[in-house]
Amino acid sequence: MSRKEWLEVGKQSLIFLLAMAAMNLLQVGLAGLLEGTPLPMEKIIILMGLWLLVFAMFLGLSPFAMDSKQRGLEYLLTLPISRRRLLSIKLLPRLAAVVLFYLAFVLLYSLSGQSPFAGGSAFFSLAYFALFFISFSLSLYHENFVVQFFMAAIAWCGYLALCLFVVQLGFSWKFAMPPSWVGVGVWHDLSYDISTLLSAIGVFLLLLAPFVASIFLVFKKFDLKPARAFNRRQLRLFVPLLLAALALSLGATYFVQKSTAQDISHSIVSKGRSTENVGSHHLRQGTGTMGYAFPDLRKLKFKILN
Amino acid sequence: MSQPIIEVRDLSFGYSQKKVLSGLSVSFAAGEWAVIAGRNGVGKSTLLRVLAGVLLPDSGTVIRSAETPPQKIGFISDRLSLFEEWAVGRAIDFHCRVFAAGGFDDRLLRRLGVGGRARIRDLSAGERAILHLSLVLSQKPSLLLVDEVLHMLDPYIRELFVEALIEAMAPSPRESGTTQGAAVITVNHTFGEIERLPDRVLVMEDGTFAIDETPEALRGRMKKVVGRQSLPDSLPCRFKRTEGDYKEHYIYPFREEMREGHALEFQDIALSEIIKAFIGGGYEQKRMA
Repeated sequence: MSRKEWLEVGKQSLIFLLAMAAMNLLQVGLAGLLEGTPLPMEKIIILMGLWLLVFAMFLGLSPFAMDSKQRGLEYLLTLPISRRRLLSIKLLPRLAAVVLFYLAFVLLYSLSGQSPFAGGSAFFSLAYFALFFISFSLSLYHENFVVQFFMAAIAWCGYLALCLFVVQLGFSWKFAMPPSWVGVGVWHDLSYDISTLLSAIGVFLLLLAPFVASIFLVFKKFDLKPARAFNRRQLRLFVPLLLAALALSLGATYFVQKSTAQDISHSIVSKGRSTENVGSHHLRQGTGTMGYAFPDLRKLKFKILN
Repeated sequence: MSQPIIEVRDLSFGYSQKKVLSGLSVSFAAGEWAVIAGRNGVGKSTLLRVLAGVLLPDSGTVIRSAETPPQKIGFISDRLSLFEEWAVGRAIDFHCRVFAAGGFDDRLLRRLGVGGRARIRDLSAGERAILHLSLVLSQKPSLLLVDEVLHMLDPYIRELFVEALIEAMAPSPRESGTTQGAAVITVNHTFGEIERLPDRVLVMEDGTFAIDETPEALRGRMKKVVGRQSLPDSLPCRFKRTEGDYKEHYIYPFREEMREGHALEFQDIALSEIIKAFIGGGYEQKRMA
């Protein structure tokens, strides 16, 4: 049974590699023709990152798609394998492919001169793995792959929004500032703020757990009738798990961020429309602007502007 | 009856809001052929799927004997579910590996001229049924579950299929050291040439078994009265069919004393017709409820 899954995932990965190579060549070629200059490596990496996200989603949604397409789903359920083991057999090769492609991407990214653990890379990594697991948890949502695709995309966006909310809350707790002052740009320099990075990873994992747990717990009762009943059961398990995970992640973030809190009076504050950029990002756009620089560990520099 | 190889106690199962099986209890012994009949949607296939482990019950228990672990349960559904893109040879390798089958007997496939390279999607329904049966027989099953497959087979393949089922029911040495044949449970709507074969007939109604008897007992307890006359209310009429003046009454449960009490001709009827009368009576009761 495992061998069948590994072969299937191997075939899908090969097709994806060929498709990605072809698409990238096409995009690079087209860009070169239109702009007259070769596409910079950075843009190629970004395009590959997008493809990787699509592939993660596809792998996550595909565990039962081939079996269903080949009308072998019922036969699969008659095999002398426990439901939990069956789901694990489906998950393992796909997770391995996701990790392998991620490592290859990280290698390419670092070869292009970028740091794979800085900037938005940390966010991309977390979002990439989350997309796979969320898609996997929704792989039995509907018989139609397109519907599953949209559902997974919506769930993923909701999940990222929730994670962002908690991380930004943690950031505001850390620096004792209103949450509305914290902008999306807080992701950019996660790698320079270890406590925020660690709490962000914790938040991502905690909020991902309900997706994974719900599919594993509910799969025991999976049957071939329309998915409505299965989805209802999964939702009934998922919602309380998500609420518990949210409470836990808020608690953990609060604890971590508060224990590494820094006084905002040491931050850069600009009360005018123009702000002095000391190498970081704006926290808020609004009635005034407030800029804050992360304590740069390489050159500790704090300044207050009036 | 010998020790049951599979037993179900207070089984309940429902799809969404609809309860299909309700407090059902039944057991099946080694070497017996039980036929389950009933109207469409009553839960026959659901029961088979619960026995096969494809569905898990909402409540109740399924107790398997030591001779009936999951590897020894063979299930052939009306969907004839297999991986369609696979070749026959690959399906055989896979099945034997997963079920730890000692060997595969391709006699039946050879009789139909089905080779290892043929794609499953290119096989006819009959060929797929025989392939599926061959796969399941390779497990040396203690329990064979066949869901509404017989009616879709042509007469030649049906005969092959039935002969293979009978062969599986013959006592043979088991790994546990006992000698016993497989229990066969089929869901049938028609009987035809297998009329005389089942040891037991079960008719399902309202989520449980309304009838559980041997065919001989059932034939003795249901009779038909035809003609233009109406029957007295004292006769228990399970189902009545009227076409103009002509009436068919199905009397159940029939007792021999009824022959003396009424000047009526009580006809013996075939198993197919008995089942039809039960199902028809069920629909009538549903209509009147």
